Amino acid sequence: MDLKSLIQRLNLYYPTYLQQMLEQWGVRSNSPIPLKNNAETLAKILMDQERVVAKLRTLPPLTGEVLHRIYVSGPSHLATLRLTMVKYGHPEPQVTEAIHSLTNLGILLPADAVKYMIEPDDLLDSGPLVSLPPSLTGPFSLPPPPTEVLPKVDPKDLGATSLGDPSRFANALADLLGLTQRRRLTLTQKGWLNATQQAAISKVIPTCPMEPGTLVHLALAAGLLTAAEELRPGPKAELLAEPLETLLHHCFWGVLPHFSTESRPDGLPLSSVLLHDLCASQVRRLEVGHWVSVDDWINRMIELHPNIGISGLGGRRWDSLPNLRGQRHDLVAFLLQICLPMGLIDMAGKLALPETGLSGGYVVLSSVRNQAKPWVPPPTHMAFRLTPIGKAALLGTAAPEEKGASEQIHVTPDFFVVVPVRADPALLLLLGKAAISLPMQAGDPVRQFRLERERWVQSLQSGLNAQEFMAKLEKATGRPLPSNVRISLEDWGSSFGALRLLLGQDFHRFSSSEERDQWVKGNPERRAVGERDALAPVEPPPAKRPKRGEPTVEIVDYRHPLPPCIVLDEEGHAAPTQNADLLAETELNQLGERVSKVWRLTRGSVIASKWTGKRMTEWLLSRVIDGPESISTRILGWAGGLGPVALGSLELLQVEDPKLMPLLYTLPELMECVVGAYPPQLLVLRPGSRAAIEKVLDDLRVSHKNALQPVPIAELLEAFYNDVPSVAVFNEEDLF
Amino acid sequence: MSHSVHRNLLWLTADPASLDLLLKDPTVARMLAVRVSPELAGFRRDDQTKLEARLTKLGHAPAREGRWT
Repeated sequence: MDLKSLIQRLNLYYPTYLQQMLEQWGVRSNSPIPLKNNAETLAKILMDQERVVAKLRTLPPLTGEVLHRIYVSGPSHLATLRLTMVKYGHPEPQVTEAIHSLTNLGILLPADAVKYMIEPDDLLDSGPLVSLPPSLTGPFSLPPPPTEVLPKVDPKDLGATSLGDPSRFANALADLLGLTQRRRLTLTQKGWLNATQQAAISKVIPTCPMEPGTLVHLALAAGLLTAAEELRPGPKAELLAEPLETLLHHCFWGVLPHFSTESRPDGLPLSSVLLHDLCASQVRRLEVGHWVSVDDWINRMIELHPNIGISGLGGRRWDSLPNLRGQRHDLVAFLLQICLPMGLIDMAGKLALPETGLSGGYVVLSSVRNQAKPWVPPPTHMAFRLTPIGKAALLGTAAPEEKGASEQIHVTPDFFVVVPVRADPALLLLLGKAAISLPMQAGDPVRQFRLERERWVQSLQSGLNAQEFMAKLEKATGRPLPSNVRISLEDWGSSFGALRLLLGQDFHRFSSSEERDQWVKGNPERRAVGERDALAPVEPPPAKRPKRGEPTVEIVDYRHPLPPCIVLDEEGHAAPTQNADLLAETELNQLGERVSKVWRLTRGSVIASKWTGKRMTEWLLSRVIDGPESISTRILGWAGGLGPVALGSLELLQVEDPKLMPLLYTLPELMECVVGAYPPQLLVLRPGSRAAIEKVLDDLRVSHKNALQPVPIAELLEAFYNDVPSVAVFNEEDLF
Repeated sequence: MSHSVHRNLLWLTADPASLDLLLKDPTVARMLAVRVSPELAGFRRDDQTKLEARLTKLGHAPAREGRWT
């Protein structure tokens, strides 16, 4: 929404109400009559994010919660908004007051085109639809919500600790986007990834913290990817360069509207907007670093909203045992499958999902919660704590900087970088790009990266600045890099992109490396390359014939047409001959699949090569030694070289006695209807001339009711290709 | 024993990782005549202008060595 449309919308308010709102912003008018430009003045105020947020900071924290609810779920009716807030455990009078203070400032905007002012009664019935001004439709910093206090627990009693790692999640997203640029990834009609593509993603991103399908759906919902014909980087791809908490914020809240029953990402069974939203709203209210029991948290969620996560009753009471099991399962899944992989929380204990609703194999139709012996679920024996970056991401604020972490960062001479898991997320992200991240064990206090040449060169290719990286690493460690590491990085970097194009060099191939080495020895201009090859400046061929025992030198000049050197059989197997040139193998690699020493050219492999029909025609004519023509024709067809053809039918006139054919040529009225001939017996008739021909034949008393005799087409074609002059096709000029 | 001389090809040399990356570019890959080792790839002499233009566009203008006779 721009300024103009905002002014149009504000003009829907009663002028007196508009003036009252401006007064709330400290803008007073001396005129008793409402001014026409009041809407414009208020619109300019509402477009100013800094001013709006400053004003919000003076209001009770609950107003932030109200705005957040609309930010997450979109425009809502006032009554729905109020009801939701009450369901989330906020006292009704405070909710009503918070909504009123926002509507009085114009921060909640009516979306209906009706002239009105928001009355207290609007909060009781459906009320107008309200949305946020443009200044609040992106991430914005709000007053922190009231802290939720749950009993503190000691994670040591529960066993191993799993630390949330947001940089791993961000790196997985970056790798996924990189993969979509190198490889074609598509979704099935139902919007899922097939098994092959899931396997491909798992292979490329071995440290992906979540299921490939979930990662892809998160990236799609957050706008990092788009899915038209194939997955491509989306409009929000640049978020990967933003601070980590901003990326997490977008990924977490941006996907919320997508968690409907129609499009559930992998690993999030039975999730709903309400469950995700309510859980997130409560998690972000927890105190950072405060370990709480998962069971206490589940109980608090159920207390706030008893049927949270129970979407379909399926003919059962909502509090039947399967529903209650499913509810616990989904509440834990929210922590284990969303928050932990994204690095928003740390968890302790044996991480496992409780049984799902129907996995018990039985359905209890009676209410179990209200029975004399209510169902007591087994404890989960898990705890979690909100991390600083998790809190920042959930609130939409900046993450606090970790102090003292630099003292614990080490770069070792054997190319390892050891970093505390709580180091600066930007540094972790940078290391993830430039070095290989090594797998972590649960509870490891540090992360390890290994600097490797290939990864280093790849990161340079994707735009990493080597000097900047080394400077940042030195700043983080507080000491210079080990000299061997610096020299190696510079060496790898200097060789990167140092392309040399060698002109005027002959490539020499020998039958063995010993022969090559002997030839190269003692001549600095001759350079050994590959296994048995060498490069050397162009030399004239030896004038004398080689002596007995000396190798004969065969010269292949690639500026001249090369002799055919590829043998092709009827089944599409191709192989280069003994003395094939250097190009043959590359061509066959492009066109076929290598099976032992031969290549198999199939329809799929030829299509995949993307060779054009023209190129294929040239190749078949110039490179393939005469072979079966049928396979050549097929290959040409697969490459699109046969072009379109048209199917049609001809009308023919067949003369029983071939000797009579020349006599027919003397009849102009007959020949008007003839466009060609297959001597000695067939005439090709003009389309649509059958009636005229029949009339001519009837006049001549020639019977034409006989069936057409089989025509020896094969013989005629053979005669045609052998240029036998008995075949003729006439043009009209030839006939007359 | 055999010794063959292959003349009038131009040779692109770089470290293997860089060459791998460049050969992933479809235009460069289409022009590739032969990859004889991880550091060395051969192209037809006729493709020189097109190849140099493409490499320059990719941000890796190659340095020429030697000259055609």
